Amino acid sequence: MKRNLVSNIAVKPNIHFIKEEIGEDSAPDLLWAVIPGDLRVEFLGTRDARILRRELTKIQREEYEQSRFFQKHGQNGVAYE
Amino acid sequence: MKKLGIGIDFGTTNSLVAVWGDDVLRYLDDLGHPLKPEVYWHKDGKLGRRPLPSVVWLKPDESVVVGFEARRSMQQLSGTLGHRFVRSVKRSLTSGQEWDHGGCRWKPYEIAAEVFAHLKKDGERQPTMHGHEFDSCIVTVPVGFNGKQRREIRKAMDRAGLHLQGFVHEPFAAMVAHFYHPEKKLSVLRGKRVLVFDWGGGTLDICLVEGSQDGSTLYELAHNGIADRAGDDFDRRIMSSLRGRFLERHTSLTNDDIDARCRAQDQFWINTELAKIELSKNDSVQVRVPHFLDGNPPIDLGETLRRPEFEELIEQEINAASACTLKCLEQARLNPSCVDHVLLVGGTSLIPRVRRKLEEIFGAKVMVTPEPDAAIARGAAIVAAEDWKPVNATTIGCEMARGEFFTFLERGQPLVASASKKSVFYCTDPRDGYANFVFARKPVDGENAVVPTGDMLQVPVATERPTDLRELDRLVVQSTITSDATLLIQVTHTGMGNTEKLEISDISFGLNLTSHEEESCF
Repeated sequence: MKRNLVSNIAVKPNIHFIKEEIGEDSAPDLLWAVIPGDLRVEFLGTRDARILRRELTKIQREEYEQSRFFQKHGQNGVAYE
Repeated sequence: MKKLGIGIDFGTTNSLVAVWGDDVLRYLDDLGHPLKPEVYWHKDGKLGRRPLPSVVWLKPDESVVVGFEARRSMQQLSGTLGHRFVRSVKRSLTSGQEWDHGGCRWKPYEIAAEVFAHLKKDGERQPTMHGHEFDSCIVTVPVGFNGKQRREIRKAMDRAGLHLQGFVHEPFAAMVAHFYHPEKKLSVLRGKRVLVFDWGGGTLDICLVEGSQDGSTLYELAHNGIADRAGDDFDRRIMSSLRGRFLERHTSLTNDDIDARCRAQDQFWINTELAKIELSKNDSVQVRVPHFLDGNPPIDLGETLRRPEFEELIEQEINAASACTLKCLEQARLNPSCVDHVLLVGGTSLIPRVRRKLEEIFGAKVMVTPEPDAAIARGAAIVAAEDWKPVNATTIGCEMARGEFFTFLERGQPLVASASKKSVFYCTDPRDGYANFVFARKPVDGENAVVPTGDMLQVPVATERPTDLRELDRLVVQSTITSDATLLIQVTHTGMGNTEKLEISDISFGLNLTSHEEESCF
């Protein structure tokens, strides 16, 4: 059966512009708030809920929670807790 | 206004040149002509004042003929060994098609160059040029033309020895010609919305334009069109219908007989087109082709074509054009009552049924520009003489990781060739191996949602598993307006040194109605 198909895929932008020109070797601290939550957790190196509450933004916490559904067995996925 | 402006309407079917400026005004005054731009109509014994057919004939002796003679000979000699005819080359500019002739392979822009060279030669002979050089001009292009197609036009003009002063969209040019006043300029369009319905021989172009409240700029709000259903296709349809009737009248003949014995195909085509034009004024018209078929005695074709029959033949196309118009309004999120004027341009829009259909939508706002065949060339000449420059009509940028919008090209920004901007980005999540630039437009009406342009650039990045922010990839983006009025995005990874490029060519245009000295590309 022919149907009018609508695309349901999209590439998510993953870039960020920083107004202040930062040297190539400097750590762009402003990026802490814009990287995805799960990557931020990897950088922190801990899953301590108190630290995550303090360090992650609301959106990053949501992203981190969402990412846990897709983690494999043995990698602390929510489905296996 | 000091200089002489020259405009070229390079059409799919016909082309035309117009000039406008102080010298032209004086010249016309001397002769007592009205103050209006001069249009170089091309003369032909049979057709009288007509635009030049955009037909190129590559002859066996390697000479090239353009215009009426080429068109006349086309149906007669087409397919004959050694003769090559190219029509509607504007449609094939980026098709990759080539024509073998005389040991050479002709590219589309080389064919187009022959049309430009003919127009230049014809123009130089006109007394109104007053010794002015015909070397620099504005060329009109359809709204839907992309950067590659504009580039091919530029190459064709270079080859013909013409400097491209800039491009202007065909509906914009027609609108300028219609509303222009030598003193008040385009002040009548201040705060107004105009829908230009340009239906010619090759394409239907619909463009919705808005004049800014301060009267300084015209902005395109939306555009739409149909590429392959226009006057030329209607000619073929009428010819097919007349052939059918001819066979009904001569039952002993078949289609094959017509193909084999017809020595007047060219005349048949020309007379059909003239009959179609005549039907816009009269209810019925006689199509006569003496000696239509060879024989002893030869057989003439003589058929009466009535307007209702013709309108029935093209009813489907008229409905498609109407739907296309409504779609254009929908894109701009406007309804017909928001439009102040509807301007009909191009020969096909003169068909009474077309006008009636648009009047059903817009009521009494529908108007026909005088000399619709010439309006586009005339408008281009005015833009050239007034030195009005194109501007960008819709803000273009890219979406960022957290939903913010970064602007590369602002609405109202002049489309000046080589204008460049450098920005530094970071890839916030390199784990899929790419930095993703997703380009979008920002609506003018203050809505939050941006509209993707459909353009995307994926730049390979170095680190798939970063362990520190210092490892996040740094990307330098250079955005440049090219001489073909496209936005070139070049992204260089500062660590890896690789550069990726993307050209965004679907840019909505506006026209700044103040004179500029900068060299613009459009």
